[in-house]
Amino acid sequence: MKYTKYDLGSYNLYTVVTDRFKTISLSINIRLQNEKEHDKYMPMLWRMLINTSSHYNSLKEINEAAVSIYDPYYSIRFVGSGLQDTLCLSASFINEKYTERGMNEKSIKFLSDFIFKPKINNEMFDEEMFEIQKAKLIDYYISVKDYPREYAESRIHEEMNFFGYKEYSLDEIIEITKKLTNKELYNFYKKLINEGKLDIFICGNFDPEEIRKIVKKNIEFNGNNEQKPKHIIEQNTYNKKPRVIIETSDNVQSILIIGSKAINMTSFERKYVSLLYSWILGGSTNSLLNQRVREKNSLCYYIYTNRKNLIGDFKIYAGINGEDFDKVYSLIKDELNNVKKGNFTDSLLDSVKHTYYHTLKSIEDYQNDMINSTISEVLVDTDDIKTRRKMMEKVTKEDIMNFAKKVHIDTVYLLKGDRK
Amino acid sequence: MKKETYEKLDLDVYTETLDNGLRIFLTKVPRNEIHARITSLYGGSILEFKLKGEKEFTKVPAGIAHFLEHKMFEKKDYDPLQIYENNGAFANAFTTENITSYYFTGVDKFYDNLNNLLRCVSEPYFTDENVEKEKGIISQEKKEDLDNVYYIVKDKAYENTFHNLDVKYTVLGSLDDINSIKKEDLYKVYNTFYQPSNMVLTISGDIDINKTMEFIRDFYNKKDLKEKIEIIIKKQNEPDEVVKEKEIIYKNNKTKEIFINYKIRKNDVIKDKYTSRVYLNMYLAMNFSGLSELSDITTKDKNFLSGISGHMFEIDDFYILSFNATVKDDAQSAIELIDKTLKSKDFEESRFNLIKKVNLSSIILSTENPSEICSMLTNQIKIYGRLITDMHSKLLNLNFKDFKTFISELNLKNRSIVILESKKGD
Repeated sequence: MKYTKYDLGSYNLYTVVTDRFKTISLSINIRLQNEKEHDKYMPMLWRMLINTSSHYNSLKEINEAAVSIYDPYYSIRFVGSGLQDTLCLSASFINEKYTERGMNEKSIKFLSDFIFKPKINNEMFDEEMFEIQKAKLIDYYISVKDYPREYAESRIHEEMNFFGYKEYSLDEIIEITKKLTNKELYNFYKKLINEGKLDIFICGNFDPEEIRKIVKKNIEFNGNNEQKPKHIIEQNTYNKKPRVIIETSDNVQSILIIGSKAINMTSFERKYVSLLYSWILGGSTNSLLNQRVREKNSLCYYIYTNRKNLIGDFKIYAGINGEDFDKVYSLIKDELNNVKKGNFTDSLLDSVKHTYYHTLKSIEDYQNDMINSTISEVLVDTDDIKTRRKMMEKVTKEDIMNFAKKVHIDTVYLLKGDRK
Repeated sequence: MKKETYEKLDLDVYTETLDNGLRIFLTKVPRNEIHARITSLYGGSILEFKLKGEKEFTKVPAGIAHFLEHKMFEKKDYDPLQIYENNGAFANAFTTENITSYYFTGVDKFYDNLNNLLRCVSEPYFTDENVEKEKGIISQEKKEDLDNVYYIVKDKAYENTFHNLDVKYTVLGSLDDINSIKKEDLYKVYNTFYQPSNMVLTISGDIDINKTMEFIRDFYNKKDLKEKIEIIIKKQNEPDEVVKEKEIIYKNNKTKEIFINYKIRKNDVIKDKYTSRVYLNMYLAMNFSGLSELSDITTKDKNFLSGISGHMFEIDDFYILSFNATVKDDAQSAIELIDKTLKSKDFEESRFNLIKKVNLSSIILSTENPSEICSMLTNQIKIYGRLITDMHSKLLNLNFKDFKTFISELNLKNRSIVILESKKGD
């Protein structure tokens, strides 16, 4: 899969041409180096950008405008990627080949204006919408407790200090958001626009030169294109004796999350070995944890692993009965040790490799995957697809065993359901 | 084998019905992945049935369709999921009120995967031990729903909407239902509803149509299949009224969750079933989508922590229009807003035409990937008994006057409301 890079001065455009889709996908990313304070602004900022417009007076008008250009799909999110905090607009619209000439430009302008031409008066966002969104965001934070998996995730993340500072607790972020002013939010937006690094990715069946002209004409940006952003955070410490935190909740099921840190990963381990390690443990129905905890002991419906390789974060998630906690935790530790000792079959290693090869081949079947793959090659130093396949073939059982020894349980969190 | 073509969508479907009654639909699309899906037209909302020739109806516990879905992956001497994984394919299954589907998505070893899929649904292996083991797993799946505020209100609303239809029970069943299921129940359901004549096979991706069809024919030619036997579902008489108009559930929650079902007996104003379903969905879009005034109202009202989502569901002789919202504290005003908005039939033709445009865009996109194509084909067979190859022209021909006539005949009097909230003082 090839992409073409265009240096447009203050930002870069990357085009990926494919004739396999009727749609065009667009991703606009503005990045800043991670700071604790960003958590205060980003959730408010994307809400303001997507709910207001300098061209239209209401959401109904915005939506009508969207439908008039064949109803593009779009979302704005705040994404943390290692040490980078990114404001990301993701969109997909029907290629004008299937609608009418001129729709590609209209769609790109309509979508990019959410980010670059927000509704601003007197150096502030729309006052009424600011107050409404602030109130709703505070209520959202308060309501996280109503969603056990989301709450448990926020609690363990808060406890594990991946970024070298203590993240805001839910109570803290509620108080901070209450005090946030419109002016402060606007200043943060200005910082993002003036100091951030912008990269735009577009994938579809088009003439790249024509797209370059459309983007150049419609997107003005004054940020910093010279940055070489750093993504990786090395984890150096962990709780030698894992901290076990148990809270109770008005739920039937208990949510168990086991948080581990990977120490001193090599680049090869970070990119390749860690993924296979994660999948062998809990990435499929035949994974060690699924077989042992679910199939052999009937203790859960779901148990799986998730890894964030840029920050060395490895977690295991399971929904269990609270009274089974000791047994489940013991089985999980047993399986973690089994990986260290190499007590897993070659066929399991082969099957997770095959799954990986499948995901590589299927990237070209999904425009979003093509965009995301390009983003990670450009922004996160991921290897190209051919290299990824070659490198993954090299991973051995010993690599997995050695890597397993670098993964240490740091925090165990149980949200214990006490509702009958 | 014959070819059917979806107008304006660049989609050819090759179809064949085997002697055993299995209906097959193959499409070739330019993707690396191949998606294959075999579906039993049996889901969680049918609990009383018999085969033609049997004297008595059999009644099975709620949740059995879903339980059976889990157990179809259990075999005496091989593991279907292991085979898929060794081939690098992803596989899973799901059960709804109306269907149970098994599928895989893979890039390599297509015929090995397809053989595995067809074997998986053809070779039941239930023992007392493996049924017992599954109860713990499915109970945990159920418990997740019991903690999910959306499912809590939705499930209660369905229970309070229907007197006799089995859709009042959840697809997973209750914890008691799950624990009551026996291997004999599973075999009974399997032998009734997993006959090939009650199943649909759809495959989409970079396939050789002739070779694939030949492979499927060969697979079933080798099977010693019994003759097709007609399935008789017990007809339940369902009144127009709901069981309970309002119920409040108490749970220690920071917000209030609302679910409302409007129970509407079908009318025959529009003879074409596809068009009437489209009109109902357009009715929801006219009043509740981002193109309605409601999007600004709920965005600006601090009481609304979510928008109002509306869905249409069809069961037996009824349409169900369902609404869900999360509010901060005032459930009553939200319920009134939903009711007032639904009953507002002062439609603008310009908005009708905009939504028509959205529908046309969405069917173009529905043929973008193999799994969506399989899903569309399966659903059309389940709902309409045939492929709606002329859906593009049906959408183009939608008529504002017919729409208004159809909507004006809907009886919106019968509704069931469920609210989840904290007890005062919690």
